[in-house]
Amino acid sequence: MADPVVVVRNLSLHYFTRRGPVRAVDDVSFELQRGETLGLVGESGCGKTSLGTALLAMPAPPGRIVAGRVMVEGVDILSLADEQVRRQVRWERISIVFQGAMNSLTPVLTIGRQMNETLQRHRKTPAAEARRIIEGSLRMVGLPPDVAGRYPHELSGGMKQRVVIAMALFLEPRVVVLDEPTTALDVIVQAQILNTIKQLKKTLDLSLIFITHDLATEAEVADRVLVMYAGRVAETASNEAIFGGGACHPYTKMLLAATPRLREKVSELAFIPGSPPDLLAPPAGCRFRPRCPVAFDKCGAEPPLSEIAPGHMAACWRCR
Amino acid sequence: MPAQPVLSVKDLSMHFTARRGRHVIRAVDGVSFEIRRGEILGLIGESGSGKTTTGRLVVKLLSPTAGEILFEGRSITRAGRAETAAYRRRAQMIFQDPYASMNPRFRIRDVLREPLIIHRMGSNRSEREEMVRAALSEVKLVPVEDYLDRFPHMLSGGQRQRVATARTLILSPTLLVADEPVSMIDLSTRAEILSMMREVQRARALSYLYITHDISTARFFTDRLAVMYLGRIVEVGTADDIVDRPAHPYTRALISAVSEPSPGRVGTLRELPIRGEIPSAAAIPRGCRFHPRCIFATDECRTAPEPGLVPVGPGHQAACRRWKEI
Repeated sequence: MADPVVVVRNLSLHYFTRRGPVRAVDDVSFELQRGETLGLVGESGCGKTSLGTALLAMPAPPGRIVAGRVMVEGVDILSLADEQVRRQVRWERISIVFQGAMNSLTPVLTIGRQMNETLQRHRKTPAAEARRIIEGSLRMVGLPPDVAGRYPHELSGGMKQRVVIAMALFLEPRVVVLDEPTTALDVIVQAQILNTIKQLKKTLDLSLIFITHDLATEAEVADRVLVMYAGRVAETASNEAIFGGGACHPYTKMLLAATPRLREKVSELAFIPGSPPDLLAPPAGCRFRPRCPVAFDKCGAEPPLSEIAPGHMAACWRCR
Repeated sequence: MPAQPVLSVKDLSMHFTARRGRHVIRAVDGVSFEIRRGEILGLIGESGSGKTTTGRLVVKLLSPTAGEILFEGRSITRAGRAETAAYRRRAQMIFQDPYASMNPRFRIRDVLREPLIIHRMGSNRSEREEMVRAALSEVKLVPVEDYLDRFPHMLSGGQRQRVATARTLILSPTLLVADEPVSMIDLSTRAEILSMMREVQRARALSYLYITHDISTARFFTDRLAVMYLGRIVEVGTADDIVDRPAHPYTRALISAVSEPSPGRVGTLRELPIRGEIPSAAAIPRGCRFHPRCIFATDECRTAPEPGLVPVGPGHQAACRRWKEI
């Protein structure tokens, strides 16, 4: 039954700054099953975007993958040369929609021109064939093909987001990483884009990694959740378990409590006091300890990520 | 209940002309509302609804093309120089991006001292220093010594927004316009900032105009909500009325689009009771301006004059001629 398309083992990604290495991703392991949508959640600075870039072996400088393995459809991508990754893996097997990508469209070229540029860079395609692919992919994300003749400023935020999703799907990857694809959008547009993503997943038989800080959005699209804190996995379980009252890690519980629920009337919204630790010098022991309301003496030692129920892992001494 | 509202906005419009008058962008197109003392009014809507322009009009960063704004019963739209200066002290704005709205080369002390100097408050240096310290502790940036000499980039988003709030409070305002004050802050700390803002609001009986696209926090934070669409208010009522008993089809769509953190929706598409995206304010549809996106629209909605706000419940109004049937 288990058929992982992405396997990550003991992955570490550090940013080598003048002040020392920032351990953005620190010994992370997980799997993405075929046909699954995994929600990667956590606060800003927890390492979720860094982890996303590591899955395509493209950490942003001065970042470097210092340890671990990433297998995409059985290919150990970190053992390949850059050129091989570019030719055989990136955008072919796995692609990414960066956060804010819709704002990096060139204002001076039509959508069709820049889509064609991207397409040609990866796969030389005759003009007529390229036009067919571009129009087809625009249609697939719910845009009229005449969008190809328009400039980015003539499109709404939602339409631009659809364009960058279409570009990520050009070369028919099996796995797509989506980094906060709806965060900057209005709620109605957000819901429309989420619908499109679910639709695409079904029709193209994709496996998705959906990065977000918003558990409400995560619940909408994902089957399983992976909560990150300070570069590490705090908890991972099915969405049913996490949202059905089974969350065990205090960080997950506090994130859940801090997520506003429109239809429930509350007088106070919960929040998580303090801020995530500096990853130049993460605290000794459990990294959540300084903010944790239930920390006890055992938390001076770092808890390992261990299975507390089938398919449910948590890194907390209280969960044992 | 005091008879006179702190702020009353009457039939306010802001039309921008572009391309030498060939395009008229009706960003705000006939908006009226009131805010009482100690009340928080939320103005919600999508990008392009005119909510930010309305906020800028209220603090007089823009002059309206039509309509009037009364502050404690006096017109500020027609106020002279001195009166405007006094109003600018008493009506303060908190911006979405606290980093962009602070001089990066100012230390926090200077960020807070600047409005005092501009408005000639505090008689000398040491008195102003005292005011700066008091403002920082009011927004819970304590001990204040830890913050006074820092630069904005050394603070977290939440701390910067506290400084932005302190900078307005230091002038003892009556009215605060807060434009998406927490949308750039991590979800986990948004509630902390909003709680602080509300504590301050209660302690000083301030009035807020809270502008946001986020209905979930608006429900928790506000007393009343006004829903804006394409330059107009289409529905207004208590926060509970708007969320639990929405009357306008646009409000219904907004609410149905909000996700909740509960499982079981994976893979299921949600039917949204709305079509397409918000049109440009340069081409506002005739008839009811919402009709092209409305799933309940009839021929009358397309051709008859635009419906105004009508009562649909106590203190609850909506601008839809079909609200009873739908």
